[in-house]
Amino acid sequence: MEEQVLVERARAGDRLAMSQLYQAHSRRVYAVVRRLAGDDDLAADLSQDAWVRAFERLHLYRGEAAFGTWMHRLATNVALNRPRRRTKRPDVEASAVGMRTYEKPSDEAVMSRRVLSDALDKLPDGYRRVLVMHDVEGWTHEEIGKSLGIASGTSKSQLHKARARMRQLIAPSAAATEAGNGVQ
Amino acid sequence: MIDQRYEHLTLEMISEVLEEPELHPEAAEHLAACDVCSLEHSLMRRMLMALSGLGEMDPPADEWERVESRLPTKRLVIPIRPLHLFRGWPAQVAAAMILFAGGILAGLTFMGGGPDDAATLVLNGESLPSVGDPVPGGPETRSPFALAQYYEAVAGLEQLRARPGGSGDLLEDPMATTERLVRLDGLIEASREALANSPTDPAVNNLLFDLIKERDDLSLGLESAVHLAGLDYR
Repeated sequence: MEEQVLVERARAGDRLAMSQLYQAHSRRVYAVVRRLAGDDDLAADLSQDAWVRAFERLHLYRGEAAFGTWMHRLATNVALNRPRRRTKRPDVEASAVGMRTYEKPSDEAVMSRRVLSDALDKLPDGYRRVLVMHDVEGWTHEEIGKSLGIASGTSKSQLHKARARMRQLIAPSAAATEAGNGVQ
Repeated sequence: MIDQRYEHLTLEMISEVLEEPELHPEAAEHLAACDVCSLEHSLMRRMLMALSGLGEMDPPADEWERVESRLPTKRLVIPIRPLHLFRGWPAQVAAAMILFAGGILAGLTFMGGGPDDAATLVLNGESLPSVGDPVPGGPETRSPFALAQYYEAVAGLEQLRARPGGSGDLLEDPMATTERLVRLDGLIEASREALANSPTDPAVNNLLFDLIKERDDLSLGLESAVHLAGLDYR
């Protein structure tokens, strides 16, 4: 059945149509929410909120973009507008963000989805948001700035700091080695 | 930005070079000459490629149940905004048509074509019925009485469509358009009654949505045409 038909029926309250829309897009929606949230429990709540809000506001969807695109953007906004964590995690309060590590991590370490996901979770909220939006979701700095209420230049500088921190988190053992040995 | 301790580029600078190399010619020059920084540049690029390739993730297994429990009470029928075109004698025609169409739809739903038939249609990937389609499930599954009523209603709508005002220029024969609206309203009411008895039947649901869409499109067109022409048929 065409997605637009499903949307029309869901708009009228048809649970079967809602379920089909959910099945078609839930994995993509959860992925963006989970990565922005940095936490399983929070992501579960936010993902639910996003879907409930979507079905409640389906009358606002005008079909200009694909439903999946609309839903993805709505879920991103739900995740971005949540209250920030009250406490900072001590393990990510790096005092020397951007300092070099000179030991090559293995390709597996760099490419592993698990390693990347764990490192993303350890980033401070601000870094993680910008990095996920830019490097994972493909937003421009202008879009990020508009969405987060910051200047696009701020988005850029946050991104570079986030990447540097991310790179350190992927190879923590290398950072420790660097502190003892140095290079050159 | 050079890390003064080791005279290598910082990770932030390497990220900046990746993003906008033309803005950092000195750093780019350093990268070309320094194996350590070149390696780091390559690693960060690989990290970014891996990030951009992160795929979808499975939500919690019970997520849909949790979402569904938070949705408003089930509502299968679109609330239809009131039409103000049928004051006076047309309302009487509408009432008569509702009774007529109610019989048709009740027959369609309960005299051989229940939820099982509709579900079979959906599972087989066949298109669901619309206003002008033959009766779902084939004539042999319906009683002759229901079939006659159904085809009479469809034929009536088709005749109206063929008349000026039935489609196209709505003001050419506004009464024909109004009559068509009345017939559609009757069918909508009848299908609502059918849904009350069989709320999950996808065929009846689909028919209802088709009818509502057709009725609303026609109504909007007529209202705007009347408004533009400065006429009042109420």
